[in-house]
Amino acid sequence: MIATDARAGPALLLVGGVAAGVGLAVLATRPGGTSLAVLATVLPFLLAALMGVAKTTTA
Amino acid sequence: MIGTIGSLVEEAADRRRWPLAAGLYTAACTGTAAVLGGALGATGLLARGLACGGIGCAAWPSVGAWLIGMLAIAYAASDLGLVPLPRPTLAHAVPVWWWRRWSPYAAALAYGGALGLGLTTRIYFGAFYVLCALAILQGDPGRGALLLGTYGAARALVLLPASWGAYHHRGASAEWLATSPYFDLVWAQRIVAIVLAVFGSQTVVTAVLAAFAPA
Repeated sequence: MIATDARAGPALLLVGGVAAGVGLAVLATRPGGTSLAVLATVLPFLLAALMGVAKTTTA
Repeated sequence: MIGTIGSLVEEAADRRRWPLAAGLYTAACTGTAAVLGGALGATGLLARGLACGGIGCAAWPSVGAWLIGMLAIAYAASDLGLVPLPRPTLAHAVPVWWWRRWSPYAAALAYGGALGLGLTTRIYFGAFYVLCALAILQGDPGRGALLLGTYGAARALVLLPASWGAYHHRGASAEWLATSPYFDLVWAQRIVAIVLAVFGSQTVVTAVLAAFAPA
């Protein structure tokens, strides 16, 4: 059995959020990067909404 | 939370009176939040005026972006339970007896006004403090009012389905609120924390890239 820290999940979420923010900032500086940045911002919300719907229908 | 929407839950019995109570509640919440944002913006404007007299303001936008970005990342970590951060609130500022003693409309107005100030109830989302800091650093009363007013409106509108649902589950309203998938506080905190982390790191990196960009 691998012992996992209860804070590992939240820490991963934070690191993922920070990494996404860094990626967005860098993308926005490139030509045509704005549309990619918008897409990268909208995708996590779509994913969260889908997860919410899945949770509701399986509850 | 049920205390703050008690008057709206009572009014849900009447489909003609509920929109008026809900409207008063939303308007009061948005109004006091906008007043708070305007006051914070005016405070920032005053502070900037005093600071500029001594040290100059050329570096202010860059320093402000750094501060807001780091604060957003810090509160994202706090919302995820990784680090404890202060969350100033005024205890016992919203008595539960308001909706029992006052008329439903007066109580809806009072609860909306108190909730719009933000500090009168427990704040589960660190984004509120980041918005307050942003309003101060922008130093613009109008933008501060718009920023916090939008927050107040969103905060009020979230409670409206809760009041309707609590009425229709009258026998077990507290249990319904605790188990409803639409009011999952942990998930909501996580989603807002990720958004805060994205916003914070993007703000910091944009400021860094601007500082090192060739003139």
